[in-house]
Parts: sequence; C-alpha cells; structure tokens
Amino acid sequence: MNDYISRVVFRYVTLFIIVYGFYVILHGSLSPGGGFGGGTVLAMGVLMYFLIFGAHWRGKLREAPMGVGVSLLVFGAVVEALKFLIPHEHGPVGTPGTLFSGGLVSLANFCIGTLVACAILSIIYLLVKED
Amino acid sequence: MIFAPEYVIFILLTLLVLAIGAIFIFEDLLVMAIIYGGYSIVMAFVWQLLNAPDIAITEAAVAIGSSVLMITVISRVGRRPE
Repeated sequence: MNDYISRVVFRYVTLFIIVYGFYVILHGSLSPGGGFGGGTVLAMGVLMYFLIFGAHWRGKLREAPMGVGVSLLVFGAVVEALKFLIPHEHGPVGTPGTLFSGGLVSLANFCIGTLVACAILSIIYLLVKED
Repeated sequence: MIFAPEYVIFILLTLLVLAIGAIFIFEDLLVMAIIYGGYSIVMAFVWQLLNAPDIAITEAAVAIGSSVLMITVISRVGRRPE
C-alpha cells in the first residue's frame, strides 16, 4: 500500500496496538481479557503492519507463525496430559492483586495469547499466499 | 460495572436490526463491509453494557481484522457482485 498518510499514522499506532495486546494478555488473571482477546489484538496489530508495510518481510517469516503455533499446541497438550499424572501444583503465587500473582496461570495466558496470534497470522498468510 | 439507562441497550439493539435490514437494500459490496464494521462496533457496545468486557475486546479486535480483510478482498475482486 502506497498511502503516505496511513504509513505515517500506523508507524506509531502499531506499537500501541501491540503493547495493548501484551497488556491484555499479562493482566489476564486480574482484569477482563486474557489469552484469546489479547492474542487477537496482538494479531490485528501485526496484521496492520503486514498490510501497510508488509511485502518485504513476508518471504522470510512466512513459515514462522505456523511452526510456533503447532509447537505451543503440542506443549499445551503435553502439559494437560501431565496434569493428570503429577500432583496438582499452582507454582509460586505472589500477593493477591499484583501482576504475577497467578503463578502458572500467567505463563498459561502468555502461551495461549501467542498461540492465538500465531494461528490467526497463519490463516492470513495462507489466504495471501496466492498472489 | 456500567451504569447506563435502560433505553440505551434498546437503541443499540434497534441499530443492530437496522444493520440487518440494510442487507436487503444495498448491493455494493464495499457498503456491506462498512455496515459489517458498524454492526460489530455496536455489538461490542452491547457486550460492554451486558457486563462482558472481555467479549467486547475480542469482538472489537475481530471486527477490525475481518473488516480490513474484507475490504482487501473487495479491492481485488471488485465492488459489484455478479
């Protein structure tokens, strides 16, 4: 896209969208949002960057999101299987109300957000593969 | 917790019904994509008023992404359906 105004505007707006996505993901155990909502916001930020500046880096990174997504899916399946084998443990929990007070829930939210973002980007890359 | 008057959600639901009725009026695909974006934003407000803020965040994000993808596809295909 050769629009000068959208290039200048989204050069700065994209960073705020991505930071907001990480905010929603990391505050998933405290406030509304969580893995899926933050992941979609993150994917839409990357999609904006891809649609406006995109054509020069999609060749190198085309296969990366699907690989990361499948890896996280296998990791989640292994962890869910291990939950039935070992005694239940939440990990280190902090004081209630602070950011990382959820123990392993914060890590799970981060992995789910990355998985959702990679899945949406993979679908978009499959759609734009034709041209 | 959002304290809004009762009639606000009825106004928003009326806008949703108008967006559904606009399907039968317009035939331009670009107009349909813009109406879909407006429908999704109104739906996000409805979720927020029904005290479901996470669904509102997801709805707004998916609405932006799918509207942009629809407009991208329409710019390749053409505005008039056959």
